Order: sequence, then structure tokens, then C-alpha cells
Amino acid sequence: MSAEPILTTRDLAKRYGRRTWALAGIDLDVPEGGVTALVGPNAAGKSTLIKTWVGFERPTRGRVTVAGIDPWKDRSAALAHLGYVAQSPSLYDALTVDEHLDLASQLRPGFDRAYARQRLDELGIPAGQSAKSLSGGQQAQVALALALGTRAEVLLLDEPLASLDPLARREFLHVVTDAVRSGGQTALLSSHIVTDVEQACDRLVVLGVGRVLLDDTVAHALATHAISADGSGRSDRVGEFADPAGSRVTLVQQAAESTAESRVEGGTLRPATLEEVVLGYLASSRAPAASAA
Amino acid sequence: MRRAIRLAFAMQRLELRLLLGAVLLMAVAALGIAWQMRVVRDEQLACIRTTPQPMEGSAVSPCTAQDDALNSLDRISAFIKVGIMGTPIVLGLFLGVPLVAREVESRTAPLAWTLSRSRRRWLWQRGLPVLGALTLACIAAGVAGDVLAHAPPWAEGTGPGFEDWFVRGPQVAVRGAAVAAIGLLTGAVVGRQLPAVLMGFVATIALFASATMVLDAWMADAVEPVAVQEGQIVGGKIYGSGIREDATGEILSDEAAYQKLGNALDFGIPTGYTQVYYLVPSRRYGDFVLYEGALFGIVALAGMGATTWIVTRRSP
Amino acid sequence: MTAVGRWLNLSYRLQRWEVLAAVTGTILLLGVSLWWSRELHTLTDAYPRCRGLAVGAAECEPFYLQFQGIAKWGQLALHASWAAPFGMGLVLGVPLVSREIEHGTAAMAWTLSSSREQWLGTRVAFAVLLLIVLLAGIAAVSELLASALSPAQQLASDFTWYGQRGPLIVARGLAALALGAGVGAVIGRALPGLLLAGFASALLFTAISLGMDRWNGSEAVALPYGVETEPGVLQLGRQVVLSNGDVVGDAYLASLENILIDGDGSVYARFDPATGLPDRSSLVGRYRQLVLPGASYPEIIARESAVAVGSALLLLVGTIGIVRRRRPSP
Repeated sequence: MSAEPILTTRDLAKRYGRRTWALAGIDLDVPEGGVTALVGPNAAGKSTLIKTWVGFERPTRGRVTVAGIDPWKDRSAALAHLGYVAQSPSLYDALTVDEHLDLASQLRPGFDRAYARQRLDELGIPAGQSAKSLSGGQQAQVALALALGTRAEVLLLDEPLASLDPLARREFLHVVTDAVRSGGQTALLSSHIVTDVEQACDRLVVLGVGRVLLDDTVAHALATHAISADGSGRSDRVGEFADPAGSRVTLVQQAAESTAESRVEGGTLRPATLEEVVLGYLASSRAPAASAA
Repeated sequence: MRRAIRLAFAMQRLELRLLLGAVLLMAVAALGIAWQMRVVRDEQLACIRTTPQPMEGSAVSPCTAQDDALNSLDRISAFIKVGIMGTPIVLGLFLGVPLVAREVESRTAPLAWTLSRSRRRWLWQRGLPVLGALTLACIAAGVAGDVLAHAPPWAEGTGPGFEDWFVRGPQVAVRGAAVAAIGLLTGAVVGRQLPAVLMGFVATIALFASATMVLDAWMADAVEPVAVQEGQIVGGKIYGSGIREDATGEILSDEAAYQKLGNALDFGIPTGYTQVYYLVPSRRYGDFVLYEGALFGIVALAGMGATTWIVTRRSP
Repeated sequence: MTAVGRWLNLSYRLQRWEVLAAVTGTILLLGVSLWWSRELHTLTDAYPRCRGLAVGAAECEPFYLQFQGIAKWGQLALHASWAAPFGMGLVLGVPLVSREIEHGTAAMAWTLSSSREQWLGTRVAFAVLLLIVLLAGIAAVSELLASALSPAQQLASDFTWYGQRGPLIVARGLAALALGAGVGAVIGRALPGLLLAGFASALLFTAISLGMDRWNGSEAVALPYGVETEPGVLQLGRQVVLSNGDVVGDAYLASLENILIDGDGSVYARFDPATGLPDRSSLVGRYRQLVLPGASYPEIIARESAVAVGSALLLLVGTIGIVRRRRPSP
């Protein structure tokens, strides 16, 4: 990974209307390469954050950059580095899959039609089929192929998995990771379901309501967090939440080496899963961000 | 009930606000113009009473200011009449088409059609409040048009008769309901708003043209020969004219009379002859309003019935 | 398929309904207009002596009757030629942006495209091209029909059927299309966009028409009242030259009570009760009619067409501004 972040935000705040702050002043660096998962509950501001990078939303305060370019000031230059798949992507009902590729070739000089077509062929999506008659999973794959065909350095994927069945999700993630690994691209994948992205991502950003709660590599996050059955009074406590059985458990954060030692410590701590890390952080920030000030 | 109306209005808020606002403005403008015409007409009559009349044959026109003002008001009222004439078409299409087409196009139909106990019930819950608003707006436009048609001096005495047929009376509302039914139907068939508006517009023009031809044929069957003395004003829709030979009672066509009487006709109707008009008298105006109402009413009911049938069967 | 062919195909597929409606409507209108102009030409050729339409000649009576019967339909076709640019411009223009926003495809299209301006350009270019082709056909055929309806007039320098024939049809269509695209981009929904664009176009074209009247009025020729003008002049209203030489408009006279106008356009303040004629000593002024001679028809048409095309360009620039700034969602 390069040291230079390809996506950045500085004190980014976005307000809708007069009172609703979707983002309350966040600083974030997404390094080049690999898959970063942007995880958070509904209304955490994931889509808003992605839309500011794409240039769909103008920050109320602060700054965002894509490869050093402010997308609101020079959207075309920023978009040259971006491929985007929208939340519940919509395709043109009137066009076939192949015509979508034609359209992309027409709109984007340098669009790699053959590459996009190859991706679709591998998935068995017929080129001559009307987009209207494709399944939800196939439509998402076409949208992804269009984004991949741009050969952009960064793929911004805004909850593309939300409406897909498990098999379609797995296929989608496989295509993303495969593209990133083989092409050296950077992907930012937002989701509110951690298990979806657990296998695919290298890095994790947890977004609370308008705030970044955690920004770490997956490996380091797992190495430095543990679950305690009784976390009351612990200074390293992150957040408390209910496990599937209904018992209250606590996520604690420790230095990597001390967490390893704790595991030996009579079973009071156990390693946390990625989902538990996320739940712990989300539990720690229940209070909504009422103001960006 | 109130909630159903509120929700139905919320679904088409933008169109309803724009269209009802425009109709309201137009109706107010029509009433204002009609009122102004009355005021100017009163001034004109006062002027005629107080101003010495010019010698016969003089080209001088007295009370020109009032004449001009009336002409200006008439020109403005012509614009409003065009607006009233278009009201049932615009309201019918723009309120009728989206009722089903927007739900299908925006993919909310599966939700709405599964939430509701039946699609028929959904359709009527959605449609009736909008159709009610449309009918009220068209009635307002028709009433305003009626007032406007009665306002000018030339409508005094015999009334406007069949003049301004398309811009006044309850027919405006019935036409609106018929066009809305066409809009509903095309919207339900096509499932996309803009194409449905275009198709609905073509169907509406075809309907209006057919209705006009049918009505014209009925009117042609109802003409009566009416003898008109010089200076007498008759009201009605004129389909032809002739000259009656008073001695025999025979009515000559204009061509035949010209051949028989020659240039004598250039100086008016000669003694012993009377001008005859073949016309549908104004008193029959109400009958034809009913006929046209029935025609458009049938189209409205048929369109709504067909829409219901399609909505209960089509894929969302 | 070549790049141009692909562009045409894709653009057509994305606006298939509107394109089919516009093409069908144009073909119908062209067919009807050509049919009626042929009928009128055939009739006029059969009565060469009645070509001047001098009413009164008994031998021309059957010609007049038949001509008027056909002309009624021909005039309807010309009315349709007048309405075509507004209808077609709006129907093709409004959905360009609004449908993409309404259907959620704008997000994809705007990020795939190297710039939103380029995306809009490819979409607008097709609509403009199609509109120019269709309206040019209507403009040409409406000229034929108009000359058939007015066989005695040289319509190249004649204001008869103004706006219902010739290049102004194309220019107005472009302005309507640009307006439709702009309103659609603001509203982001096709049907309310069409409705609002209809209202907006009524305002825009009324404003253009009033502005043109004012502009043309400054170049109008003043003729004495009652002088019969040649056919084909453009009547622009009237004015009054007061006894002191001042020139005033109609509004001034409307403010005077009970004025009298004689057949030669002399305006008097009162009658002479003794004679029943106007009191000559109360002369206020004389009416003059303002007309533009038929010879200025090409210049005036070019001027109004330029204004319409200029408005179209301005509106397109505005649309680009809106598309650059707006969200891709309704």
C-alpha cells in the first residue's frame, strides 16, 4: 500500500435542511489499494460521505479529495479516478446489457468495454438481454461491470449488496476483490451488514451517526479488541451490547500483545469477531450528533 | 375518509397545486373581465344616452372609449376562453394519467396493490378524491366561462345561444371526467407517464373530434326554418338560409332567390319576401348540453370501468 | 456500427416514445399538409382566371365555395404547424434530464460520463438534431400549403400566416426544447416538468412576442387611418398624432371620455348638436395605423428566429448550470 491516501476528508460536515447533520465533521484517509469497508447503521451518513467524493453533494463544511482533487471544484478530474455503483443501482429499462456497455463507451473515453464484457460473460449474463428483465443480482453485476470498465483507480460502492441474495452477494464481492487484487485498484464498499464485507475487506471504517468511530485495518482491529463477559468498571471498555443469546457483553480495546495475554487469563476475555468490534463501537455512540459545531 | 383524501392529494401534490391554482386564477380573471365588461357596458349605455347621435350615414362613432375598452376586454376574454377550453384536457390528462402510471413506473404499485385489500379498492381510494377535485375545478371553469359568455353586449337579449360551446356550462366538467378516464386508461395500459400523456392526448383529440361530428349531425337533424323580420335578432346555431315567398309560403334557396330576384336582393329583402334561417334555436341549448353530457359521461364510465378491469389484471 | 450510428441508436432507444410520437405526428402533418396543398393547387389551376380571388365574379362562385371548403382544412394544418414546435420541443426536451433523475439512472450516467456537460451534450444533440430535421420538414411543407392557401400573394415578402410557416417554426422548437430541458432539470420529474414547462413556454413566447412587437414597432410605417393596406403587411397597432404634433398611443385616448372618430381617422372631443356631425373645432388629433410592409418579412422572420435561437442557447447554458449543480435524485 502506498502511504498517500487516495480518498480524504477533513472536518467534513454535511447538513440537510436547517438541522439535520448527516456528517458532523469527520477526518478520514483511505489509503490506496485494497478494499475498505465503510460500515455503519442506517442514516449513519455512509451514502452522504460517498456522494461527497463523487461530487453529488457539496460539503456544508470541510473538504474532501479524490487523488488530491476536490470533486466539487473539479468534478470531471475527480471522476476520472472514480467508478461508482449507486445504492440500488438503476439501469436503463429500454437498453440491453450490451447497449449499456455502448453507452458507457460513448460517455467515457477509454472505457474498457472488453473487460466489462468479460466480467459479465464470466457471470453468464447475456449481453443481448434487456436490463429490465435481469434479476436484482444481475442488475447489480451490470452496474459493477460498468464501474469496473472505467478502469478507475477507485471504486465507490454504495451499499450495492443490500438487496441481493446471499449467493449474489458472494459473487459480487468476489468480482470486487478479484478486480482489486488483480488490477491494484482501491475499493470502498459501504454496508450496514458486517458479515457481508468481513471476508472481502482489508480495512474497516465504522461510521456512527455522522462520526468516524473506528478507522483501522481489519487485522489490527481484530488483534486489539476482545470481548469481556463482565466489562463493568474496565478502563479499556469500548461499548456494551447484547449477544445473540441476550446476555450483555463488553467490547474492550487493548494493546495487541496484552490482548493475547488476556486470552490466557482464565477465560475472562475472548477474541472479538469483526461484527462484535463494529457492534461495540456502535454501542459506544448511541447519542445522535445533534450539532456539527 | 379524510385521511384517504389527504393521502390521495399528497400523491399528486405538485400537479394539483399547479393545475388547481391555474384554474382558480383563470376563473377569477374571467369573473373580473366579465364584471369589467358590465361596468364598461353601463358606461357605454350612459354615453349613448347622453351623447347626441351622429347623422345617419356619418362614419363618426360616438363613445369610442367604451367601444375600445369593450374590444380590449373581449380580446383578453378570448385568451381566457382558450384556457377554459383546454382545462378539461390538461386537468384530465395530467391528473388522470399519473394515478396508475406513476405507481407502475416508480415501482410502488407492488407495495400499494399488496397493502390494499383489493386493487379495485385501491384505485377508487386513490382516484375518487382526485376526480372530485378535477370535477370541481372544471365546474368552476365552466361557471366562469358561462359568466364570461353572457358578459359582452352582443350576448344581451337572446343570450349567447350556442356561442362559446366549448368554454361554458357543466359540459366542461363532464369533458374533464371523460378525459381523466382516458388518461387513467392509457396510464394503466402503458404504465409510463409521459408516453401515456401523449397517447391520451391523441385519444382525447379523436374523442373530441368524433363527439363534435356526432353532435353536429344531431344538430343538423334538429334545424328549424325560422322567418326573421328585418331588424329582428334570433338566437341559435345557423345551418343555412333561404328566402320565403310570402304569397306561396315556398322557401327558396339563396341561389334560387338570387336567380329569381337578381340585384334586388342587394338592397335587402324585397316586399313580399321574408328572410328564413335554418337554425337550431337557442332554447334547445339545454337539450344538446344533455346529449353531449351523456356522450362524454358514457366515455368516462367506460374508461373508468376499463381501467378497473386492467388494474385488477395487469402486472405491477 | 459506427460511433455515430451507435449514438443515434442509443439516443433513440432512450427516448423511443417521444421520438416515435414526434416522428408520427410530423409524418401525419406533412401528409395532410401536402394533400391539402395539392388539392388547392389542382383547384386553383382549374380556375386560372379566379386566381386573384376577386370576389364578385359569378364564374368564380363555384371556385370560391370549393376553395373555402378545402382551405378550412388547410388552415387547420397550418395551425398545427404553428403548434408543432412548442409541442414537439417540450415533449422531446422535458424528459432529457428529468427522466434520468426520476428513474435513478442519472447517478450512473453522471459518474460514467467524463463530465455532466458532455453527457448533457450527447443527449441534447440528438434531440436538437431530430427536432431540426422534423421541424424543417414542417417549415418547408407549411410554406407550400400557405402559398396554396394564398395563391395570389408572394409569400416570400408577406406577413400572411406569420409563425405558421418557414424557419421560425424551427427556431421556436429549439427554444421550447431548451426550455423543456431546463424545467425538467429543475423539477427532476417528467410529468410535472411537462406541465410546468407548458406554463413557462406560454410566458416565454408571450414575452418574446411582446418584445418583438415593441422592436418591430420602432420601424413601423405610419399610414393614414382608413387607407386600405396591401395584403401581407403586418399590422402593429395605431397611434394618434395630436393637434400639437405630439404622438400618443391608444392608452391616451382611452383616458378621454366620449371621443369621436371620423371615417378618415380624425378624433374629435364633441358633437355639434346642430349638424349631428363632430364639432370641427374640437379636433384632438388624427389616427394613424402602424404597419410593417411585406418587404420586411424576411428580415423580421430572421430577427425573431435569431431571438428564439438566442433564447434557446441561453436556456441551454442555464440547463448546463443546473445539471452541473443538482443532485442526481429527485
